[in-house]
Amino acid sequence: MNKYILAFSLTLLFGQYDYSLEDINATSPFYGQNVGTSTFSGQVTLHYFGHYN
Amino acid sequence: MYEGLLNDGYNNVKLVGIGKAQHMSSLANWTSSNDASVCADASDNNTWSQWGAGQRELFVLDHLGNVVLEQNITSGLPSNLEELIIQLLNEMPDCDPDLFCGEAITCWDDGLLYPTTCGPENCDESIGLCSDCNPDLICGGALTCVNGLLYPTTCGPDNCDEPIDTCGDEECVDGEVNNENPCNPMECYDGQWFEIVIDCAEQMGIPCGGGVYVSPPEGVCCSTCVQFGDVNGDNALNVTDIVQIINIILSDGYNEVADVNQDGGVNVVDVVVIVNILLNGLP
Repeated sequence: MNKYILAFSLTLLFGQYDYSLEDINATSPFYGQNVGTSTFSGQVTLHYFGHYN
Repeated sequence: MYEGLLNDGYNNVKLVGIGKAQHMSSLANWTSSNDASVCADASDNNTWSQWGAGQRELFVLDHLGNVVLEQNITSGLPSNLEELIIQLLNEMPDCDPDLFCGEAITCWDDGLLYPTTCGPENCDESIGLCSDCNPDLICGGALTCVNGLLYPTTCGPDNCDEPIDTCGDEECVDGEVNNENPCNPMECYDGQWFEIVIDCAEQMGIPCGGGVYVSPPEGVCCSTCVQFGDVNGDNALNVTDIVQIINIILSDGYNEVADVNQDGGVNVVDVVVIVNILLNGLP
């Protein structure tokens, strides 16, 4: 329940431009954690959308 | 470019790659020799839809989460991308609102008061100047040296008093006395000047019965209580005073000590009163 409340609050705060997805890069310091725009609140963020085969 | 920014010390910029779960077979293409976060949007691609993102679309958000650039970079990165990012980084405040701080009003190095011990570092606004003074402070009436300036009370500058002199710049010889101001003489003790308190009877409210307070001569602080008629101030009523009173009358002058009956004028009536006192004593 708390997760849903937190997600809802973050949505309200960041609106459309946020997400919460698992970091699957093993060399990333956030590997295995969910990240999104709100994870890096207070920082400049670059979000690249692409898919690869 | 991202690694270049990090190498240049721009640590407050984060790059995240968002792919699609159904196209994850070549993950190494995105993660080779870098530690940026890489995510896979679930098969319903909800995040892509929510952002309105297309293939090879780059979004740049400022520190507040506002989109400042949305661009398809199939043909390459914008030439001013690095400049834009650095500009956004420079716009970030130098403070951290999540700092743990002590709840105490603190005077910071910038001369401003802040509500916590973090000063401005937790993004708090200043609540005033450190030097704000309070004129209603209750202070001791003694000259006090603060930071090389001499103030009239023990509060120093805290009660908004202006300094009256400099102090502390030079040491003095023990026992040395400074009588430049006879009402505030200073005496040297242990190499420092200290004020000698002068209590004058008139200022203390002690009545001058049968007389009047006469202003002191130069170099003397306190007024003197002089008996009415004692014009020459020798603490005695005699014919010498009568002669001086007569001279005052003849010169049409005025002297408050000679105005024995305090009627605002010096005349023969004052002489008669003094003669009666000399003959019969004080009433």
